[in-house]
Amino acid sequence: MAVKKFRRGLVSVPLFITLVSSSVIAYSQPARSAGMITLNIAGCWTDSGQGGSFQRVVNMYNKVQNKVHVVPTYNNGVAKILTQELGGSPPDVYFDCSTAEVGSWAKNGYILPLQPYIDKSHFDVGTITDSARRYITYQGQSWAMPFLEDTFMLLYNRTLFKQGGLDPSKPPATFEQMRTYADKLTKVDSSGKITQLGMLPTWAGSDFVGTWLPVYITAFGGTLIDSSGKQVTANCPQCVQALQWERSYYDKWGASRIDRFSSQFASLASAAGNAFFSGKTAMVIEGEWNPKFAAEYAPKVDWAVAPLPYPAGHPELLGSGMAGGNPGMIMKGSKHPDEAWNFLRWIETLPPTMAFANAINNVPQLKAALSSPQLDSNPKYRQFVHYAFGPKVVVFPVTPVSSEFANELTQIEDLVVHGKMTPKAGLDKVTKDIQAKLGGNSVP
Amino acid sequence: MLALPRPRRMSKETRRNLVAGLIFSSPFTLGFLAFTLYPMVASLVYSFQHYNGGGEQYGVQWRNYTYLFQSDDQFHQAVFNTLYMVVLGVPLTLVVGFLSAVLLNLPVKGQAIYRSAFVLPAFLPLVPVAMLWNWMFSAENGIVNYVLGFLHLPQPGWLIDPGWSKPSLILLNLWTVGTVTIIYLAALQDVPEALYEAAELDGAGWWSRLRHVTLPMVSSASFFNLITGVVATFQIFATAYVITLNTYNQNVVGQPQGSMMFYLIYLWQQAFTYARIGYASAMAWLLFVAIMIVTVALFIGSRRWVYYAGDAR
Repeated sequence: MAVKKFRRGLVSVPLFITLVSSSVIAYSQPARSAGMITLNIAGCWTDSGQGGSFQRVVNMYNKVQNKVHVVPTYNNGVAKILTQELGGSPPDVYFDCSTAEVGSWAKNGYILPLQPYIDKSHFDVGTITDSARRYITYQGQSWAMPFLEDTFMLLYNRTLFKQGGLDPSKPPATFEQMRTYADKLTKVDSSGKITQLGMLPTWAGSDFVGTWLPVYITAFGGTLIDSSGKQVTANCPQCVQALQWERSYYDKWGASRIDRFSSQFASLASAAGNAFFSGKTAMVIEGEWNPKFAAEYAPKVDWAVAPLPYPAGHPELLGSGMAGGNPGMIMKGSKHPDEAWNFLRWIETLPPTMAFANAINNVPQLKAALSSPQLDSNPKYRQFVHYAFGPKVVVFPVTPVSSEFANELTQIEDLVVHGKMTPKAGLDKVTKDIQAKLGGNSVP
Repeated sequence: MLALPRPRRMSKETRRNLVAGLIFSSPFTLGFLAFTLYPMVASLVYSFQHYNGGGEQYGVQWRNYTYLFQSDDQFHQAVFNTLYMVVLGVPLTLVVGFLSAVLLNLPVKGQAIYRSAFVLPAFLPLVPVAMLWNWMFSAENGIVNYVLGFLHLPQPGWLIDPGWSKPSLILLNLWTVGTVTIIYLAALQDVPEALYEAAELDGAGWWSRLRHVTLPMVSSASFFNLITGVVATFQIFATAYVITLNTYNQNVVGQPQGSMMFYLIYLWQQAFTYARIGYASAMAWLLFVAIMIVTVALFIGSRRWVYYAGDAR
């Protein structure tokens, strides 16, 4: 008897789950009429805050047209989308959180070239900011439509500046100054443990290009690849200088001590206890989403934003920076590429762009956004927006091996700051490896 | 008498049974063909090709394999890390599994509670376990280092120290040693009491009884645990992946400093982030062959030390 009852119970559990989940799914889908085409729009955003905003913005499309029905999802990673594409059932459009896939996906034919659509519909790509256009362009062609962009600046904790005897209205202008300030703001207790960090140059707070080494390299005036896009230059003198600059802080304070102290922080940018929001790290390089996150996770931290420093004696590099963003790509396996293009064209208009930009405080990718009265008035956020619109903001090179390039830079950075390699030897290795992979077919 | 039609090779009933049998076994047969045999053959073909799942696809003969051996530092590191886990982790698992089984076999009060407590962790899903340990092993405010500090013992960096990351993972595996323990426990209960009595009469102490009675009598369990342990450790993935994911940037696997780059993690990265299907297939086949060779070698070697009760030896 008991067994029978138990068995019946076992059967009814999955049944119950199925019923409940299907009704939840049915409930959560907005109404659609028969005969409409369904477009699956997948977003990369992992957290429910940003992902939810993405869903709401995409759903706006359902109200402004009547031929298709868009179904947005979030928390879609590269591996998942790639598997779906190879399996023949990808979403129609994928918005990546990194710019590193555009080149390789274009080369491997996972995404459709957008140039024919742009030409056919006379879409003016000139409405998009220069930096966002750079990250969607591979070999002179557009392969994606950008939906917002990211840029990175210096964030510093004003309270810690004051406590350290520094003027909180004068952030470091040069990298040399930043190093000196970092030493002043680093605290060690009587047992030799670090209790406050002046800076955390290797903090992995972003998912766009590994850590910040590419950003430092750019700010030091270096480039990762030559203008032809064929010659890897990751061992350029400025590149080595940038990595040496990072390492000098680790050498001075001890890599394992810094590791130990920083391991207590949450590794995510969107977390209350991350290195900067904890109020125990004086300076970090971080992105434009921070005003929004800080309001939520660290309302008490008194902080400010400053341009990226430049190497002493090179004030002409002021305003240099790097942009990332969210390229929206039409997957090759999409059943409705024309409708997908219409959708992508729609996101390149002000209403969805401003709605999404303001919701998650990313930089809008449209030039017109700068003068839009809708642009969020938060002064820190606006500093980022102006910075991203500057002429010296570049992107991580768009190549078929960008993802590996970024990952290897991060791996080498990790080895170098821990004293396992010299900056020059490390960057020589990256250059050699990536050059071989970029060079052709001799490497798998 | 009516002339019956000449029976065909199969009677109607046999044929019907055959059809029914085929239909009933078809879910497995079709599943095997579609989801096991076909992917295996396909990946073998891909392993000799430059193939990214799209774009160009052409034969490269053995180049994927030679490149792995000759030029890929990260592959070498992944092999080293994986072998480290196999060579150090698996024997430790066997020793701890065996000793815990011996203890749990002692007739003490509350035996069932101890047994449950020991075995329970093995049935927890790996991902939450990895996250839990990530938190316990935290160098700065983890409970493990708190206890060590309280006892005035050194507090390693555990998961953030490349020298300690793999030992940490071995410790985690030891915590989930329960399945090994269960198998040993069952084997221990099969050891005939008479053998112990006989040994005792011959003047054997506890060590001699353990060495000459218990160990040989549970050697088949040891062998089973060894094989499954080795095979599973070659394929270590989930715990290491989750731990790195939690501690570091999500794009870069295998940190700190490459010390947690295991074979399958590297394979996964090649296949599912870089889309090097051909190259990853070559890696998969190498792993398959390596596991096969090791398993066969263990089987051959086992003849020297594994004793099956009832064996006429």
